[in-house]
Amino acid sequence: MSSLPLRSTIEDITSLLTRTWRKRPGFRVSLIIMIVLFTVAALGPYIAPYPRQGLGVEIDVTNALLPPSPKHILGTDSLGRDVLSRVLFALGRGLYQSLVVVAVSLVLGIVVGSFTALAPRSIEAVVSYVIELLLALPSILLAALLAILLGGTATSITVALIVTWFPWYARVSYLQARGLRELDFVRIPLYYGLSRAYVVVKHIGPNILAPMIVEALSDMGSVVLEISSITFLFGIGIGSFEEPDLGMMVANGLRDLVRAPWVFTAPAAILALIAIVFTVFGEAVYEEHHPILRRRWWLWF
Amino acid sequence: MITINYILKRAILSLVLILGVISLTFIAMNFIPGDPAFVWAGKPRGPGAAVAIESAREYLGLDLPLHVRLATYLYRFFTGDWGISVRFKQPVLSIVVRSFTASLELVLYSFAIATPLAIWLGTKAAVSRGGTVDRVIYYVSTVLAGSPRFLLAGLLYLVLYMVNYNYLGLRLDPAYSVLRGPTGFATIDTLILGRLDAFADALLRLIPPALAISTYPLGVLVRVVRVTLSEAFEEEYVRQAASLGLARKVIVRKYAFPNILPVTSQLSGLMFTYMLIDAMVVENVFSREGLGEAVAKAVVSSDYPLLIGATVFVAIVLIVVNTVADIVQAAVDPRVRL
Amino acid sequence: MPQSKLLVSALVLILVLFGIAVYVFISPTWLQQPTPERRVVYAYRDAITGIDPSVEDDTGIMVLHLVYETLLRYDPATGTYQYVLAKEVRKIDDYTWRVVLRDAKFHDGSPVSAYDVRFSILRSKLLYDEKGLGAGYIWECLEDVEVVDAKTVNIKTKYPCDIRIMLAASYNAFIYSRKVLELSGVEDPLSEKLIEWFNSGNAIGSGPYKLEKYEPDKMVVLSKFKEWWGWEVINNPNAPDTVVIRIVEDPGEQERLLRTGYIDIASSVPRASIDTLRRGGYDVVVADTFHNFILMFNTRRWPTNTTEFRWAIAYAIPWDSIVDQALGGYGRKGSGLIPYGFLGYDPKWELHQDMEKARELLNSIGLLGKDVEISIVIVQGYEEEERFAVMLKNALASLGVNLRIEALPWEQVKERGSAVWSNPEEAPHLIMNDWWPTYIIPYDYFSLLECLEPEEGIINYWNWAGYCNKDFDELLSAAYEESLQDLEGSLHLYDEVQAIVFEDMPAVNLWDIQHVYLINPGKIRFRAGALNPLYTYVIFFQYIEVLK
Repeated sequence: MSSLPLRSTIEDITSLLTRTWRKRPGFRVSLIIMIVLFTVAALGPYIAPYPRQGLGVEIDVTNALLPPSPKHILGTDSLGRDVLSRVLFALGRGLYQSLVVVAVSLVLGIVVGSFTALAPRSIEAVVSYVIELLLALPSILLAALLAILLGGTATSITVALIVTWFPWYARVSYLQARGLRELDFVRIPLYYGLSRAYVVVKHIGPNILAPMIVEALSDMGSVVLEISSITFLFGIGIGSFEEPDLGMMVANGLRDLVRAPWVFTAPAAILALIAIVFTVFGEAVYEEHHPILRRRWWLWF
Repeated sequence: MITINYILKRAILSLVLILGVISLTFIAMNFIPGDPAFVWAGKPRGPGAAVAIESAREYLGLDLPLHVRLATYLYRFFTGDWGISVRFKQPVLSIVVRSFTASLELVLYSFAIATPLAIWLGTKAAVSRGGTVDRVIYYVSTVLAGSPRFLLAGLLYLVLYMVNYNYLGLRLDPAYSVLRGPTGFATIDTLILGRLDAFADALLRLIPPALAISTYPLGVLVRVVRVTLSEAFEEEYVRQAASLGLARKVIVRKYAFPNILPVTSQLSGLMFTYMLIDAMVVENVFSREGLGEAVAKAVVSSDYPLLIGATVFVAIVLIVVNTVADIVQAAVDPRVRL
Repeated sequence: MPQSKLLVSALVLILVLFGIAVYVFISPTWLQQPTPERRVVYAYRDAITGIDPSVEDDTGIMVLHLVYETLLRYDPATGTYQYVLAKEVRKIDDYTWRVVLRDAKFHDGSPVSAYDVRFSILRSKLLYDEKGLGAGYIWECLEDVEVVDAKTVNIKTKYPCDIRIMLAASYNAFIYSRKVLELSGVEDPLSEKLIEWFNSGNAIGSGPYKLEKYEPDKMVVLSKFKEWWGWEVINNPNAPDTVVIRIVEDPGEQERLLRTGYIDIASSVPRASIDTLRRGGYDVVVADTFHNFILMFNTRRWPTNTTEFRWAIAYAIPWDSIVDQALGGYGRKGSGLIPYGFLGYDPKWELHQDMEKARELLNSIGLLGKDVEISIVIVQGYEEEERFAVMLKNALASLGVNLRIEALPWEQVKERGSAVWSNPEEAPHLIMNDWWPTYIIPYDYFSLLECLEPEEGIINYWNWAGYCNKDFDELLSAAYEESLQDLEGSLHLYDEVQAIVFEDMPAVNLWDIQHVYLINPGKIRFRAGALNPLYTYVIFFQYIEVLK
């Protein structure tokens, strides 16, 4: 019985995706690339030609800054490490971190948003105020603040990003839930005393979950970009200096930009690919799903 | 429809939000495990640490009850006492304003470059709906807007470096560093001081990073214009106008533009946040002074007062910009209800 | 309709601006007004930490030796003293030295007098003795400075010592005008406010260059002091009129700025680029220095508080490849804390990598292969430290020790290092302290392991090992006193001191580095005397020629 909302959600998502697949070539291309990216990221550590260099533990300064060649497909960096291996390791880390951020933000946002819609007026007002507040905070500065307060670890970046992302989902679910709460299938169970949690999970959730999950998937691209901007600017978020991280690699690549542009371009291009592909994916789905998601330029933010 | 009532409501809402942001930073500092005085002093270690922590303790008044501290904290923000930066040893507010103006200059120029270009390209795309021009513009704008700003900035830097472009990096050649103007905008100040050579220098150093940043609003606005115009073309009254024989150009101008303006102004508010972040990144690539440099140095030195100041300041700016954008949209868009 | 007109006019405006820019770009002569003055820009990789001539003990050195002067200067190559502000330094008896000043002026036109000498030297000494600030310990044997007449002082010592060593020191031996009290409005010369006054960009010295602008994070601008006594002596009409010391932390950026002509002298370009730059026509000036890189162990934190563990790490260091890999060949493996070429150097303290011994040692304390986590702090942008850290990490990984590498700017590195006294758990296990001399006495290099009196709150904030060995301190003091009187004779005592360091291993000298300056030979020429290993990173610009 309780698996029903889950099943209906999955059905919604699949129908949405298949519809978009059939109709939009851009979607097909981006979805394929996304799947490839995820696979490569997952397999990264195993297919990297120089795994120890990828992790950063091994360096070979005599081979520093070699241009792309059959031996090193993307060349080597200033410490002689194979750029391809580094990118493979960094890709996995980046996608994983962004997945965590998006997943937690989504769940948190939906829970907060839906509950707020069903809550008494005063709590509703306070929570929507807090959500507006959090939306006004720029994520990069919050990440910097948390880096000082909690130490500059990957966790502090993740927390900072969750805090700035979940309000988006919270706001959308709040508006949706608000629209739904007047409907019978919500009012009646409440009237009969069923807990709000039950109503949220069984009735409101499934109605808004499907498009939001797809949108969250698309948001992963922006999150990866944000994380890499933070690591690029501040150099925080890595455990040890030599660890592979796309943003850090771009920052270090700037040092040798003129002599060895591949060190900078490879990670930056991967980031561009991720950003563009995920956004196109999201856009295609949004255009299909126009009626429910309304006019939203949010995908660009 | 815009009324004093609406403006007032928005203004009060903004003020309340600003108060909230400041209080949030207060909470963050005081409810994280550890000694807030230690954090406020910039996590000093080594000689002089005890003294620094003591004076931070005094400044924060940690012995006083919580509501008194919060009130003092808020009061200080509104009177301009934002503390002294641990790293730069100067008042936080002046550092933040200085750095922010530098980044703001970049953002404004990027807007100035992107907006007319976007309107022009978007119109071209909408007019040839579905055609090759439309498709090309669409894809190029997607790629440009979606790419991380450091990629574009880095590539631009590389290209300019290769062609021996002499105006890479910094806001102004060090030879002009003695020039000090009232506004803090390098381009305006040099003009005010009448130094045309310095003005050209500042402008030339500004254009490449501004170009890099402008790709984002360009990409977004092109698509906005394109979609809004396409839809406008499908509207009844526009088709009527066309059937009445009005030239297409006139239709575009008379009917479609009023639709673009509200969306654009609303989006501008939101885009501003991301453009500011982009500015920080691009500044790093071009070694320009600005908010990015200040915040990066603050993080590394655990300069908490400066970081709080920067966060609050940027949040205030964003809130104000969004409020203004909303008000402008309300003023322009006849369909907005209150 | 107004909107399209707006659009068109906006476009036109941008086009016009672009037009101006392009025109200006392709005809740079209009932009660059011919500057009659000679300007040289020198890039250094760390922010200037301060410019109080009696307190500054770090990167401020390169500004101080241009704005101020010492009485003497020492040339390690010839082993002789040169007269700078003094024109005669003579030992009258065992406890008195007479110093006669030459005719020189301060930047405000007032003459350099014996009163100023007394003021500056005593301030340097007292700020250390009473407040623990600066490197005033160099004035240890000084008793008093007596003014004989306007141009003569008698320096009185507590015991027989060679005061010339101190007069030629690279830190805290500068002579400045006693007018600083007036100008700063401070009454007490030992007050913090005076130090702040100096560090806000004020200076009044007698050196060849005046301080024009002081932005320690970004740049320091100096202009030629026309009434400097030395211009007639040196006869260098091509000396720069303006010297800009620019702080550029990233070596890649230094290279780019050098290539685009924004800086004229680069002090740290990426080592891998040196050959390319040489082929590109740039001159490579390689300078021997007494600058070494000392790896310090946190002796107050587990597991580096165990001697066996420290020795295991010492044996794990890939000694035979660090000079090539980390330094690109520009340096020499370290042997004992004293660098090559400095009095007291001995090659017998050299180490070689021995993984077997390292394993044995770890095993003996039960830590072999146990996934021990330790951390190292290095300076951000110091290529050589970055490479070394990763090499070390690699070597330690095979022993089951995980090294976490943290790169921070120099000021933060100092903070983290000195935290070992207040909170050893917060200080890293390993930290790199790069050291250069204060004067030519070996004591200097051992001073960073001195304990002083932490119980009474007097800590040695350069001692990032938290090493506290009273026997070591005593022996070192004895060696120091001896060396003040008989430098050569005291070397055997320093040998004993080094033996203690070798046994306890609280710190180890990784390498002695050579400085590589890259210059554009068409514009800059180095004369003899521009560089001196005792005055690290100082370029004596009065010996630099700026060609046009």
